[in-house]
Amino acid sequence: MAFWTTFWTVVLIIGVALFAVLSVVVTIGGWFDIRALFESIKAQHTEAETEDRDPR
Amino acid sequence: MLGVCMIFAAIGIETNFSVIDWCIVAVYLLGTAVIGLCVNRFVKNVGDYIVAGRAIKPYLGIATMIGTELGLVTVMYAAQKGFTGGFSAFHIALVAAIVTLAVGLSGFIVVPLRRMDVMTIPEFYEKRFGRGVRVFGGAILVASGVLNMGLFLKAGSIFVTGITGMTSPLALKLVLSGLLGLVLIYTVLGGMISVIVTDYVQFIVLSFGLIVSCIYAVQKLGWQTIIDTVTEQRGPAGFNPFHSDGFGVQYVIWMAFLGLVSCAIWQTAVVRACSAENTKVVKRMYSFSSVGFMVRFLIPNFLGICALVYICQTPALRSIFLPDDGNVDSGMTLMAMPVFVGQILPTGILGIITAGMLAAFMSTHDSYLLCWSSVLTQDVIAPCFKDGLSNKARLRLTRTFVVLIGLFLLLWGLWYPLGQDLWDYMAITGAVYSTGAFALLVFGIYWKRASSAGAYLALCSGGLAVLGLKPIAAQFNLHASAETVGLATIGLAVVTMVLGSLAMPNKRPAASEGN
Repeated sequence: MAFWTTFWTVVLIIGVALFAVLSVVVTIGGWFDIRALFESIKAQHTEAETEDRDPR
Repeated sequence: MLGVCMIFAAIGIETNFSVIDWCIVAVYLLGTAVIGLCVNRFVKNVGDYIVAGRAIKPYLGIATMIGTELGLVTVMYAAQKGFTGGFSAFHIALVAAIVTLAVGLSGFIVVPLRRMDVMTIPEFYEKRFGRGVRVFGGAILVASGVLNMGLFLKAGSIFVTGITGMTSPLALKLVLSGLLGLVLIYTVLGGMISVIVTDYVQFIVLSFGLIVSCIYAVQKLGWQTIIDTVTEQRGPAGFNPFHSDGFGVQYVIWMAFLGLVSCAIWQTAVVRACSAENTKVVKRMYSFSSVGFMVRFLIPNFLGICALVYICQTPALRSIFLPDDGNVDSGMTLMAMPVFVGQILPTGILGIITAGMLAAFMSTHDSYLLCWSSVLTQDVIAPCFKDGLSNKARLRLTRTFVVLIGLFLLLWGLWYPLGQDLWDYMAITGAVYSTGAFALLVFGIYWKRASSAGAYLALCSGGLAVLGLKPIAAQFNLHASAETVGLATIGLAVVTMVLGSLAMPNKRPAASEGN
């Protein structure tokens, strides 16, 4: 049982630490990705409108 | 649920939840709903509505994937597993992480799906096996998916009761119906774009909230006390997942399969892969999300363990949650974690955590509602029209289904008797679809000879997983555990797919993506 106790302790510590780092990175990176998402969707709409006006 | 409320109304639940916390919750939830509504102006076609214009980059993909999968219901059922299984329950987290990482590194299933430019899994069925399989598979997927989320409201109401001390059944129903109403409004209007933005906000609050709760719990109880109490209460089975008194080998294998289902077969996760900018983003998203797929079980499992320890130390709670005869209602074991969190966290932080959890509740609902209603429209209804459906008609249908499924959830949550751990209920309802889908995806992508007949047989075999639900098993006098039924169904789906394909091959063999 000592093996499992140590094993799960290590899993918990590593898991929480990794998640803490990931949370910070994703929070910052996600903010920029949201802005890029809106810009990309706007560009797709503009492109579609241009194609509608000039089907050639 | 009403029984649980009445027990707590009689004894009175102590909680640190105060008016300040209610204000935090109200402001946060309204703010999230307003953000969801504001992005409505970006929705101009069905592609924007269902896959956000396929323009999601990695960080946002990770946030939204974890945001969807780390919902209030996940936290509740994982905490229940920690409470009933001790540290052994961590194996669910570990295998989920390993399987998701393997999918991320190899691109198994998800990369071919993204390469095929499909929006839903049944769309893949049509490309590979024909329109009939798409409609049939889509109907099974929706039935399984809607049943799977059928107890979300029940779990939500147990959480609100436990953490806030609110025991009036009427007030509870009003709060939860209000939350569902908010979700319906912004999902109907904003589609996937609003789902993604609100998932991002929820990811931030919930991830930090869970980490803070963990630290508080260890500080309050002490690490050695936690270990000692689990040893005393659960013995070796509380640590060793393979121990026959606990989960056992069969259960661990079943969890490995469910890990694969959660990330690569379950439509709500796959839709993220389909929304990604390209296949490179898909692989990165999955590799990094493996941490999220682990933590979504790990931290709630741990909070459930801490709830067990706290309840053992509190005589008033011990007599309710751990009676001497050992007979505890599954609703009560679900309630343990919220009661514990409501008693250890201080006012203010409790409000933020509750807001995060309720936002998670809304976020999971919006993703699932959108997912199942879009599958119904795209894969079950639209293929039945010879000339197809216009973009406008598809949008209108999807929005109507969102509302109808929402109404079904209200009724099912009140009616269905749980009778087993919530996680096992969800695993089995999900298996109705996922066991058949596993065979169709794996063989459809990686085996050229897989045929439509094999696909139909595999889908029908998957439906047998419903026998793992306690009320249905009782009807047929079946005594097999949920994991036995689940594993047997996978085996049957694979065998019928192979035999059906060999016996009744397609006239023209399809091109295999994986080769």
